[in-house]
Amino acid sequence: MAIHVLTNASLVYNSVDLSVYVTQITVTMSSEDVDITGMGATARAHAPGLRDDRIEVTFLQDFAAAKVDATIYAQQGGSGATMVVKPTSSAVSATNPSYTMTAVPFDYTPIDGAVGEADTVTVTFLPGSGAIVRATS
Amino acid sequence: MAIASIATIRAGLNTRLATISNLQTFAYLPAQPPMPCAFVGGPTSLTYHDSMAQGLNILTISVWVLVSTATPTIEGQSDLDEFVSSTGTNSIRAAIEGSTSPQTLSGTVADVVVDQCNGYTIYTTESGSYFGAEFSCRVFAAT
Repeated sequence: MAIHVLTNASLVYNSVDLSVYVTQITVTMSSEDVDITGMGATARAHAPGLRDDRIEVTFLQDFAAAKVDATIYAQQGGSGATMVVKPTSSAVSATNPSYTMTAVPFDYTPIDGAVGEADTVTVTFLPGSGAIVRATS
Repeated sequence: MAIASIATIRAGLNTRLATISNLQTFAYLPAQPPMPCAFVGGPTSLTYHDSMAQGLNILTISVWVLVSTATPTIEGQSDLDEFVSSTGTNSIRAAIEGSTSPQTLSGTVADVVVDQCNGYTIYTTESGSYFGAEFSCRVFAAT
């Protein structure tokens, strides 16, 4: 049994590799719960409804050009840019799938931290359109 | 850029310490420490995976300052008081952190924070007794 320990996850947003700034990442592929229970049923039946995906990331902040703040802020209020997340930085494969979303940043707090601590910002990315697509090649 | 080596960080901290006049500074513990002196003691903790892809390591590294007790006791303590003060021309904290933020040790690390000073007391070694104190510095070593 192989257990995956996250030390080298890859995150590329709008073609900018921000992996080294990532301290925490959560990819959520979710569907609304549609109740399709019919009369005469003895138990509830459920069907997946509309997808409602998200990617939540905690970054170490960097205000330099083409780094964390500049890359995220450029997409604020827009229709989104492509975000690709992988378990490792290796090429996409069956054991290193990619998760791709047209990501729009929501709840971006560019400055977040206590005195003497690293400025760490948590951002929730929601799809500008579509859902997260998983690929293995 | 690769994560800075500990040797590079020692050298960078020593360069900052050397901005204090009349203080002899060393990147490593000297065999026969001249007084007064400051030296980089070494890492007390090192975390390797503070971000993905080895983007950030955080080192806690100690810096020591020693003042001879050969001088009159009050004078030795007075000198040490200046070294442990938060501000002033002889402040170890001010010298290491400098006036610019972040303090990158000439571009080798992301930042340095002097968190605290402990152990203000007399240290006895084979070569004598000294007033001294230890500073705990947090070094953000980033790619």
